[in-house]
Amino acid sequence: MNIDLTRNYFELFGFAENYAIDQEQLAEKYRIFQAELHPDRFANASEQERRISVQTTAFVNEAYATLKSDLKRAHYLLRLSNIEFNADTETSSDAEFLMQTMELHEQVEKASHTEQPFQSLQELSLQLKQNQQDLINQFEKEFNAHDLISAKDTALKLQFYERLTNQVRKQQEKLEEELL
Amino acid sequence: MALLQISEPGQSTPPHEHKLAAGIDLGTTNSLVATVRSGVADTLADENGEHILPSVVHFADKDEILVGTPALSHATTDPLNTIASVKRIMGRSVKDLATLEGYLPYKFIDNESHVPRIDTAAGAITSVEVSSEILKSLRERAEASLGGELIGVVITVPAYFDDAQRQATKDAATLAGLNVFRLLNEPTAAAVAYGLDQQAEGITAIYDLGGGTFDISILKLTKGVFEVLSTGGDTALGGDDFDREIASWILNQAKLKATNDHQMMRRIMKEARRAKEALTAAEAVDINVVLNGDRHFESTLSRHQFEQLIETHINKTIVWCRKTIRDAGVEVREVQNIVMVGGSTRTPYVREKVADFFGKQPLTNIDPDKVVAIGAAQQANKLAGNNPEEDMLLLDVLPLSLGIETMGELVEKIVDRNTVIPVTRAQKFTTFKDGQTAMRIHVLQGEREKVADCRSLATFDLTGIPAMVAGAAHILVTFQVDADGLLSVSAEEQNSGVRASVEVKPSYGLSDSEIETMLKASFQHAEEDVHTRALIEQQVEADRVLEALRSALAKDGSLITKEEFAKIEQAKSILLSARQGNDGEKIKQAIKSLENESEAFIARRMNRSVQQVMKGHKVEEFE
Repeated sequence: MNIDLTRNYFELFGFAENYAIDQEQLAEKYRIFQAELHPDRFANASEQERRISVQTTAFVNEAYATLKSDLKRAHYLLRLSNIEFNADTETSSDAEFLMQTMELHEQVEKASHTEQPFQSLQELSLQLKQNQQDLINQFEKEFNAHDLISAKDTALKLQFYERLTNQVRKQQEKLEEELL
Repeated sequence: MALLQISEPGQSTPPHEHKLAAGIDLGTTNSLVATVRSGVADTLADENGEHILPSVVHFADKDEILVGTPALSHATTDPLNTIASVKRIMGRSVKDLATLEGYLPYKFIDNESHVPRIDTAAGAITSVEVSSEILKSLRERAEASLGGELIGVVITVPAYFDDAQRQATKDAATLAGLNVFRLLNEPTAAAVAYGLDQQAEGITAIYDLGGGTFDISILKLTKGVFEVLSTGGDTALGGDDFDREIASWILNQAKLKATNDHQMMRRIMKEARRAKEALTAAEAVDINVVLNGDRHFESTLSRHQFEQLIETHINKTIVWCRKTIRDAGVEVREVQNIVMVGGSTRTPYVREKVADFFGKQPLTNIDPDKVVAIGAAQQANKLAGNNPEEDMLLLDVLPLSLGIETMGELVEKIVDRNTVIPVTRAQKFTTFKDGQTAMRIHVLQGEREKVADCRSLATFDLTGIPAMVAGAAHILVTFQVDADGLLSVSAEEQNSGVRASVEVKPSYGLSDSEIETMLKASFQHAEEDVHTRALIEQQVEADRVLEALRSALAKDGSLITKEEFAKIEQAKSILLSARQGNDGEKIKQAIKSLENESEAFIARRMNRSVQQVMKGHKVEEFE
């Protein structure tokens, strides 16, 4: 690839390397990128230009998706700070948190067997959202204070909630499919 | 960015010439072609004034292929040679056919290839060829009524079409001699037809109830960018179910059971359909049908009774709406517009139930059969460059996750569904045995965890990895999906730099050489010289390359070094002289070397566009 796509995502979108970013400004900039670079802009151009446009747009899309997601942005910031980890295999080392996670797993299992499973799952999902928001705030504080070790642990907790939220969603889907 | 148009005498096209482009709705049951004329998009009629082309092809003989209504008339007399609903088998493997819902009344040939071939009087025919006949017919119709050759088309596909199905659709277009600007998702096209892309922002639901299929899509528009947030639906649910419900009601009332008397069943189905259509406007309809022998059945079906008959089917669509809205991560009340697509949305009860669920009235003023083709035509018109002042973009997402097979026949996802395309993603893998020197990469598409439950797209081998201990090799697998949703994959061992890559042609898709053979056959059939065609194609591409380069140099000449300029000029003059000759292969080579010389320059221009956006300027400000 000849095009310089090694650029830092934050720099690409004109942000400082902070966890808090202005989502509206991000979306606005993304639209301008798309308006200039998307392959549709090259429908009448040569194959070569279309190919380079695809590569460039793909890079911008990836950058946008990373910055837009609270979880991905956290992981990306840690990687930029040379904190390497595997979010799929590592878990938080906080013992109290681990206890909590077991409880939450149980709650998800139980929720689909209650009298009103849709409502129970909905409530659980709202609670998970709240917990995630708390962790997002915590990550921001820790990252700003350069406490990267704690920040990494918080990012792993966030990852756990992401997975659990997906699990709740799968339960909801399963229930709905039974209705079809 | 808009290419600057510079007219050199006798060389480039006048800037105001209207370029001929069309939108094509290649449907399961019916197909349509539409175009924009004098600023208005509408579907085009055939010589009999018919807009709708039934998606049916009759293969009586190599020299006698009928498309549309003439083909339809053979459906009952010659069913094995009359191919309908081919869209359902586009991009499907021989193995898939067995699991398809609904009966396919054709004879398939057992062969070595994974591509299903239908045995007809005109020989073995693939679904790509059948679709290509439909596209050819629409192309001829468009070119006859517009009086010139189409420079490009937008073809619509269901939002959930996977890589194989999209690739097959594109292959069919190639075979029909069409230049595809873009494969556009059907729901997006419908939203464009209603001008929803002109609104500042909002969530739109596209409710598409056809004869045999139901699709619901949730789109999000933000300042000119359309995203498909989620799609759902049922491939065996549609207006035909309404007909069947009325038919069983008739049988019930007449105290009859469904029988093998096909003649009678056909009469009942016909009457059922008539009753359904009449109930769109009437409160009740008289039913009158000849049963077996001399028995007549006469009764009245009220709209209320009809609504009870179809209630469960409509309720199913509503469950799908709820599920798909949640997939999109939005709330029902956030949906601002509901667009109705497909003939079955004419049924008032469907509209009523949809309005109830969403809490607002759906949009129905464009003919629901034509709305997708009309939107596609508007997009084709824009991509052809006929509407330069409008800079709306349509962004699409990947319909189904992409991944590769890992140990234990599991699928490791590399790109999640609903990711905005184009996209490039890479993931590292390693070897699991000491001294392993090769790795088989199996590319899959789907949401399930097991290989057997996903669609196998391609398999390729990365060989020549230096022998290392297990886990020491670092193999980087990169997926790239273009704006049409089509995939290419490459793999590289990072310590040694060993590379392998494939344009993902689904394992049961047609290879490029097969398409070329078909193309040749079709030209022989049309008594057209395949070399002439290839030559013209290369000449067109040469002109495109030269024009693009000319405008790039005029605009960004400052980005180029003297040495580069000299080399480009040299390659350009070689291409110019090849362009005058009649050797297609020579032109192709000349294009390639010119592209090699200008690659760095073109990439630098793209980079500069990136930088300008970073600085917060729109590129227009520099023009």
